[in-house]
Amino acid sequence: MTVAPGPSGFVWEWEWELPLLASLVVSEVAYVACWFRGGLAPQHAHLAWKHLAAFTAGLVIIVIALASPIGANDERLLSMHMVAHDLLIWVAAPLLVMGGVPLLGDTIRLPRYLRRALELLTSPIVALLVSTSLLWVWHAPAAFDRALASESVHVVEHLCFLIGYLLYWWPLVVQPEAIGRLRGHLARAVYLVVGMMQSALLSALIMFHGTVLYTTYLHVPGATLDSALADQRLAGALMWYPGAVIFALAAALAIRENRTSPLAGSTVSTRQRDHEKAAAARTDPVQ
Amino acid sequence: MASAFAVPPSPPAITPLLAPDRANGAALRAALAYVVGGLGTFLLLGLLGLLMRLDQGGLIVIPAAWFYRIMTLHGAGMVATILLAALGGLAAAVSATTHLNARVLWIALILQLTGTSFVILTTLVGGFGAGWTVLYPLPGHGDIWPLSAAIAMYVGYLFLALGLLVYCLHMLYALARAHGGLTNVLALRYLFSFGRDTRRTLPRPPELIAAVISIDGIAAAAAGIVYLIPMFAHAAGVTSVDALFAKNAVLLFGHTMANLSIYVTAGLVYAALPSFTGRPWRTTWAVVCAWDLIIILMLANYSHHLYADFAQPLGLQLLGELGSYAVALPSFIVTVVGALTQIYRSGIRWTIAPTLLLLGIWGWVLGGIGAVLDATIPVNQVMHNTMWVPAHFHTYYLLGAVAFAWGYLFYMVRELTADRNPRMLRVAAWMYGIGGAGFIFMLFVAGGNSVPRRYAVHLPQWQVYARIAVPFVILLALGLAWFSWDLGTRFLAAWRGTQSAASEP
Amino acid sequence: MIEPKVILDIFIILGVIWTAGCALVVARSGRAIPLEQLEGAEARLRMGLLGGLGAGAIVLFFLTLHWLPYANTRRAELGSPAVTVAAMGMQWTWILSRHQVPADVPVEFTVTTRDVNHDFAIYDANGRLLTQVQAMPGYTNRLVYAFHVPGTYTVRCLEYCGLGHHMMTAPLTVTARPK
Repeated sequence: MTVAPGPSGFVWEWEWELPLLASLVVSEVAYVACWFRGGLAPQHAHLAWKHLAAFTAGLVIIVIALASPIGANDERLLSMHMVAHDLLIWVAAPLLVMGGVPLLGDTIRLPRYLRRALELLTSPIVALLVSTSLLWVWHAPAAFDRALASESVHVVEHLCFLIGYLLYWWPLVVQPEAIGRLRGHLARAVYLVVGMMQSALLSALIMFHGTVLYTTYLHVPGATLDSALADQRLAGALMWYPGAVIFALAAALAIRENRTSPLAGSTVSTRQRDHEKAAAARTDPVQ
Repeated sequence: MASAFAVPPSPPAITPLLAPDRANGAALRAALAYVVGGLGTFLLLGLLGLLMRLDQGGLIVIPAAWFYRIMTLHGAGMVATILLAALGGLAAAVSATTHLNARVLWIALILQLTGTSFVILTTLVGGFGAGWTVLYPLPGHGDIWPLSAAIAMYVGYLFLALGLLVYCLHMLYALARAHGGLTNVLALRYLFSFGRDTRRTLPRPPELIAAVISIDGIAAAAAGIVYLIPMFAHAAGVTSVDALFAKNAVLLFGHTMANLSIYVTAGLVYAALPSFTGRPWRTTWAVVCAWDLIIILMLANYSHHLYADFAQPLGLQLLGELGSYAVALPSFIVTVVGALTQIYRSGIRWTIAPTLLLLGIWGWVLGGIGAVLDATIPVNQVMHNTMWVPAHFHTYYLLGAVAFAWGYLFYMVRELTADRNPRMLRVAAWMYGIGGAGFIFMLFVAGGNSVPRRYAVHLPQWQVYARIAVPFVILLALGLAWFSWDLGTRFLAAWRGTQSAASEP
Repeated sequence: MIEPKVILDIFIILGVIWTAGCALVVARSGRAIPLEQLEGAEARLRMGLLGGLGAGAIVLFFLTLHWLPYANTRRAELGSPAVTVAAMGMQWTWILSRHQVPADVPVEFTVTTRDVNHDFAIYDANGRLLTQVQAMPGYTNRLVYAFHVPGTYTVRCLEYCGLGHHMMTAPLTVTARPK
């Protein structure tokens, strides 16, 4: 339900889609329920209001990214589409991780093989590779245009970005002493710098490209070659500059002197637990 | 006692790099990241210089547009990476006795690496080629690069300035906290009482030098921001900019950025040389006077870049000339003479680290001779913007600051691994020295023959200078490759040397 | 005026002296003696250098005031300019109001630019740089110079100005004054 665009071509209406809203509401309700469960049990005193706030804020950002005029214009302006993606991967994803990861630790009982799979996926190298690949693959002109053409493919694209970056931000939030996590300033710095540079490279390639990459934007009513190119340059800039700021901010927060990230819960890995049990068994022969 | 001034009560012992209980381990690891990251990237972007010499020698042909992009990236890259390495060494030296917050060091590093990535991407991908000095109005007048590329360069510089600012502010804070105020870090009471007021403990030379360059670093970052704000405004079409103001602002920024590295690495000599000579380098009144003066003198002579801009007020021109002469005095009389006194009849064993430190002293003064000549206004008339200019700053950098930085890195590895540096490396130092000297000498000769700088294509009669330089550059590169290989094999051990039994971040 | 090659020679001489000094110190770096024995000599050396180099710097500074390239100084030295050449730099060419000037008279070049910074530099036929002045947008800088040797000179741009910087030249002919 969009009204006629204003003089700049920008649409000022919100686009409420039921499946998106429904899934967000369900997520929030599920989270709050788990949060209360976790909050009531005395051994989970580490769950705090800030986790609830972070998770809810993350969901709100998704609404802003996809349902607000930013999202409503993603098919007519590449720059707006970029802002929507930026919000998903750089604002919503870290917020969801900061709110959700502490919850996952103890409240939800997962089968061992699922926990192992999760640990593998959220290990730094895998997370970096997955998030980078998904970002680059979906920015290929063929894939991007496909997503613009089909709503279901577009949903898959957004899910890929979100999940990819949920994985990316994960290792920065969990406790560093877990095995395979980002232990030490160097590892965290390298992780952040590599993440930042790959998206910077992609943004620069888009921004400085001489021709329109995503031809769908050429066929928007009222678009000219010049306006589409200017829009593409703006889109590249909107991916490059805010990205640098976000990563700098992340560095300020995530490179910490002390061991524990203040927003993490007790997400000690199963391998770590097994190690500890075995060690305890060795040192205590009576058991 | 020959000195007219009172004996300073500063700690006379030679300070080891590792603090007791490896308390500065985290800061040392950050410092290693700075030095290795800085020198590693320096090697890559230094190769661009080889490409430039090959092109100017007529041995390869690089399209002009690409030449100027490479030139821009090489210039900005050298300044940024050498500064990184220098700042890292300084942090290591200071951390031995002053607590530095490793986290802040890492954040400053990430900011500077972010800035560097902007510069790399905008030149290599965006086509930006206005030179690292981004002199207004050229960045906006590029026919071959879009305005967005210029803006990206400015944003990169903004991140670099921010990273430098964070580092310098933290350094000043840490030093002031450790010594009870900035006046004590700069030993101002001791200075103005001609050495009689010795109530406060004097800072070690690296601490004093760190404070001095942090003040100038903040000035450089501020000058950069003062330049960049109208640049952004102009790019947005909001305002026009006065060309003279712009040149003053950008040169104050660039001049100070370039000089900063040289003075920082000179500080590393104070930190490392005593370990090899066995003689403590004490904070004397001369040291305090020289370095406190440098705070002002480093900034005062920036106008020597504007001698040929006749619209510049004469007072500033003359200040530039007098300041250029003046700044040579404390550096030569105190640091260089001090280093030579350290070495003279010391029984020093000439391993790689002290060899490189000495090479740096030699090169620094050599570059200084070339610089003082060019800073003389009538001489500048016939040498400004000829190859004499890159000749003198390549000497300052390659045979000065960079030699100091590599020397300090070898010192760090020796201290952290408690292992001597291999003797064969001295051969690599000679390769570096001879290669570097031949290279810069050909630049001076070209300058003496009025060859212009920043030309993508050289006339046939000029090409011979670059051609002769190429084998020297290759020799230099091989020496550096040898350094890198040796350090690469020992880096892990050095890293572990910073860690105590309970592993820290 | 100052010859660049002389400056190069001065540099080489000073460089050799400095290198010899360093070599001397290195040669005498063995056979250790305590630092205390050197402190007196070091202090004296520092004072000597401060006095010598300081005085030299001040003398040199005042000497340079006679050879400033700025229009006032050159006019005072050479006399009032008889000929004016307007030079406009633009990416990537020089537009001169005249390409011929007489020898042995002071010539004033009024130099400006239409776009970015350039540098108006005059080279003689042997490739020697004689004099220069920056061309700044929004400013007109005046360069006064007297040519003594008739012949063809080349104006080159010496301030990096973009893609065609290395191609930005213009000819200038100096004709002998008629008797």
